[in-house]
This record gives sequence, structure tokens and C-alpha cells, in this order.
Amino acid sequence: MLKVLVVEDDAETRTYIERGLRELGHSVSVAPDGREALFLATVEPFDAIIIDRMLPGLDGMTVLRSIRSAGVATPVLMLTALARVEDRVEGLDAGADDYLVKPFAFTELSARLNALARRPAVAAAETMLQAGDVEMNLLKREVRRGGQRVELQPREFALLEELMRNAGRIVTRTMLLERVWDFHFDPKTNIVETHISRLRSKLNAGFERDVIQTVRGSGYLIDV
Amino acid sequence: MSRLRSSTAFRFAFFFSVAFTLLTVALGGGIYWAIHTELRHDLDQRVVTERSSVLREAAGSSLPAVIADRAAYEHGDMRYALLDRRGRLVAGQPVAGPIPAGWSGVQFAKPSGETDETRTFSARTADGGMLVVGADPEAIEELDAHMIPLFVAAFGVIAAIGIGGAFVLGRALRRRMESIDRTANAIIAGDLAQRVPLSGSGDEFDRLAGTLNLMLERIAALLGNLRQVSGDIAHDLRTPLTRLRQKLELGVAGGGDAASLKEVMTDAIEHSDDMLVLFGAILGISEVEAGGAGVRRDRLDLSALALDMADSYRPSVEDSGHRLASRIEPDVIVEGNRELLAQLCVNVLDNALRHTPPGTEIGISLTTAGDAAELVIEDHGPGIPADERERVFGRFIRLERSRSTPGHGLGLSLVAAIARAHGGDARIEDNRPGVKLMVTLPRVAR
Repeated sequence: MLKVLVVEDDAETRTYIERGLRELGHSVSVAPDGREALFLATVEPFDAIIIDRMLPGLDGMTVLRSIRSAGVATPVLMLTALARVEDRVEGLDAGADDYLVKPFAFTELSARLNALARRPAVAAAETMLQAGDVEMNLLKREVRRGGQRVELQPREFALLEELMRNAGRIVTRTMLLERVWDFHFDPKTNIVETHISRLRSKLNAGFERDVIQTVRGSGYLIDV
Repeated sequence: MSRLRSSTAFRFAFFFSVAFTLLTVALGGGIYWAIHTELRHDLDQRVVTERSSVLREAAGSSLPAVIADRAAYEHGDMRYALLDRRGRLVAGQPVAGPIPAGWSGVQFAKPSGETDETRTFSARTADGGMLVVGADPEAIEELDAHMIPLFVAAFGVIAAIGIGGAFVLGRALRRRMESIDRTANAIIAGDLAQRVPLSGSGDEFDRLAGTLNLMLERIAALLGNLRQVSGDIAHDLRTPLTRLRQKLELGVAGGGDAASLKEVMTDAIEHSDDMLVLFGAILGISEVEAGGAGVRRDRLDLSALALDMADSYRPSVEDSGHRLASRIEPDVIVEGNRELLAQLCVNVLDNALRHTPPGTEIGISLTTAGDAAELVIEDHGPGIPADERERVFGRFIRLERSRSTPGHGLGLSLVAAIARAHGGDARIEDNRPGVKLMVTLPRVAR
């Protein structure tokens, strides 16, 4: 369960996010404007903050900068109707940890929120990743399943690494596009699906259990 | 007339010619004054010299004799008179009025009876009389008689040319401006086909008119595009919206159990996602087209991107039973937007995959030709008829043959928009058989 602050001026969107998160068992506080958000964010500890970029009065970027300068390090997911590269860069520069363009699927929001709030602090330093019988040696660039070497293409390796780092959590298609291909937009193509399918057939060769689960309408998941 | 006075061109020419005329007057006056002064000085000099000469001669004989002698002979324009202490004429020519000492203008009587004003120097003689020597300023008068009308005439001609020129220039400029004004007013009134007429002289007005016409052309093209697109959007969205509505209606009417309702709703979500994708694609194209040169561009290794895209597509290509042959020249650098160029690659590769039967080899190559980078995606599939090759870059264009394949007919128009936003272009050639899609982008040095 996460303690989440949702800052959104549009009542319908706010309710949509609030209800969705509550149903997933998160505890949700809402703020309809920047002033309220700034107050709540600085007096209460949250696991994550979802903030709309366009707010009346104090806009999302200003609120975010103020939150950061007040020393609050809570992960922030910024929502926006603006999809240009410049807008994303600006958002990340202001201290956002992730950026989601409207309209979005709720599963996308939820997956990103989970990834954000539970981002391991020292992930970058790890050299070995393990999930079930799959092992990854990041230094030697080696993958083993049940002790047996699995030969992967660099892109497949990067895909698996991303899934393994988030083992137990759903990783969406767009998250994979961002982190494996560095595509911060949706090219509306099936390259993720075809690569997952390749990776899957290589990992599953000779095994019964499918390592990578497909969560319909959401993304992919590797069990711990 | 009042319109002419309010014309900037007229005012400019008018004030310019007035200034020019005043300058001419000043110059003429200056010359007149200088010559006048010089001639007067000359006249005075002659009077002084003549007087000294008279006095010198008188030293040998008597002054009245010398004067009488001089006055008797016709000495051109010099006049002489010697008066006694009471002002009576002793010798020389008769003078009128009292004579002051020093320089003055004395009236000498002519033989004809008229008087003639002269430039005169008078001084007392030793016996208390007065010696008067004068010179007729005929030369100066003659000069005035010639020069003043000349100056007046020149002034008149210059002023006339200046003001006439101002009128002509003002009218000419106004006429050229009016043709632009008329065109603009016609366009305001709704006739978008109007263009500014050119005079054919190639002057700055023609160039301005040419630029304005190009601008009007562009605006008309954009407007036409907008009209077509809004029509297309309305049409293209009605179909999926109708389907969505039907599904939801059936779901409600069916009164089925939770499971079947959930399926209807999942279906409805997929349908709306499809529409969102369509909207996104339309927005994307408009953004790229509107952004044009304003699209953020960085130095980009196009070779690396093309290689990356080819690698990323290899599984898709092979899974669909196609083959991929890539030939990427290394180190091709462009000023580009990575996301847009990646999208361009995605669209052309998807396009080739969709419209060719399994077993077809799809070639992707990147080469350089002078200052251009050429990205070519080719296949030996069924190809596109020659008269459709230009059309497929339009929006919502789907060829009859591909009605059954998925897509909205926006892929290649985005390709063309992206290429144009990078200062390049996209075109389709016959690959005998098949499609050869060439994207040309300006290249920068390594």
C-alpha cells in the first residue's frame, strides 16, 4: 500500500485517479490546486505525488520546484497534455521523476507509480539480478536459467534487465520503450511485443513455466 | 488631392524637392552676392585710380583744365565734376543736388537731359572746392538684368520638376500599393484565389508582391489542408464511434451477466483507444507541420539510429515471414529530432511490412549523395501504381488494395511531414517491381 498525493484540478480526472488507486489499496489524498498541494506535500510524508502540469494559479511546474526546494524528495509523477520532447525535459529538470502524457490508461499510471515509489535506492550498483530460476550477471553480460546459459541479443538483454530490476511489478510497454529504446513517445508499433516474444522463446526453451507473464492491457511481469 | 497629400511617398518627394529648391535659391543668392561684391569693389578701384590720375595730371597744369579736358572727351563710363566753394560747377559734367564728401551715389546729368546715378568719390580741394569723380555702374546693372531672370527661371524649373516629380512618384507608388491593397481587400472579402499582380519589372514592389503571393499560396494550401483534414477526421471518426455505440447498445440491451458486460466494456475501451491513437496521429502530423523549422533538432548519428531501427525491426520482419536486408553507411550525421526520425523509420518499415506478402525481402539502406543523406526502404512487393505514388503521402489516403489492412492512412503523410520539417523530402519510385521509398535529408559534416 502506498500513500499517494494526487494534485489535479479537473474533478473528473481527479476522481478517476483517486478511485482507481483506492481500489488497488493505496491511501490517497487529493489537492485541487497548487496551494493546497504545496501545503500537504510539505506537512505530510507521501510515498509518491502525482501532479498535473497545468493547474490554475500556481502551475504544476512551480509547485514541483517549490516542493523540491522545501527539501521534499518524494518521487513525483507528472501528468501532462503536452507531449513534446521539450516539455518532458523541462518537467524532468524541474524535479519530476517520471512523466506521463494524457490521455493515459489507468494501468499505465499504476505501473509507473509502483515503479517510482519502490525504486530501489542502490539499483545501479547491483551486478547480479535474480528472479526465480533466472540469473543475470550484469558485469559478464550473462544470463542463466536453471544454471544453463541463455544467449541473448543486446536488446533482449536490456529488456530482461528492466523486467528483472522490477521483478514482481508490472512494466508497461511504454516504460520498456523509454528505458530500453530511449523512445519517450509511442511509435505505435509492435517492436516491444516481438522482442518480448523472442526473449520469451529463448528463456523458455526446455522449460515448462513461462518466465515472463503478459498482463493483458497493462504490460509484462517477471515473478520474484 | 487630399489622398495624395496623405501619401507618404508624395510627402517625401515633396519635402525633398522643396529642400532642393531652397538650396538652389541659397546657392544662386550666394553667387549673386559674391559677383556683385567683386564688381563693386572693381568699380571703386577704378574711381580711386582715376582720381589719382587726375590729381597727378593737375600738378602739371590746372585742375579745371584737366577736368574739362576729361569731361569733354567721351571717357566711357567715367564722370567728372569740379565745384567751387559754393557748389557751382567749375568744370566737368553737371551734377544734381548737394554732394557729400566721401563715397556716395551722385546723379550726373546726361547730355540727353536724364540723370544717371554713379558710384562717386568726392573730396574737398585745397581752395575749398569739391572734386567729384564717378563711375557708371552699368556693368553691375547689366549683370542684374541678366542674372536675376536667369535665377528666377532656374528656380521655377527646379521647383516645377521637384513638385511634379513628387506628384508622379506619389501617384506611381500609390498605384502599386493600391494593387496590393485591392488584393488584400478581396481576400478579406473571401476571395482567397486573389493574387497581387506583378508589373514584370522585377523591382522591389514586384519582389514584395512575389513574397506576398507565396505567403498567400502557403496560407491557401494550409487552409485547404485544414478543410480537408477536418472533413476527413469527421468521416474517419464517425465509423469507429458508430461501432462503439452499437457495441455499448448491444451490451445494455443484452442485459447479460457481469462477465459478458465486462467483455463489452473491454471491447469498448479498445475501440476508444483506437480513436485516441487516431487523434494522436492527426495531432502529431499537425504538430510536425506547424512546427516546421521550430522542431527541436540536435546533431544526430542517423546511421546509428537506422541500424538500431533495423535491429529492432528484425524480429517483426522475420516473424511475419519477411526478410530484412540492411546496408547502412556509417557516420551519416544530420541535424535532426531523434524521436521524429525514429517514428519516420517505424512508419516506412511498418508500411513495407503491411503491404507486401510474406517472403518478400525488405531492404533498408542509408547512403550519402553530396550534402544529402538518403534513406531508402525498398521491396519487390506489388508496388504502387505510378499515378498514386504522390497521393499516398496525403492524409487518410488508403489505396483500394489495402482496405483490409489495418491503419488510418496517416503513416506516410507523417513521413512526408517529418522529412519536410528537417528540410528534406520523401518520394516513391518504381522498384521494378515494388516500392522504393526514398527519404532525403540534409546532412551535416562529421
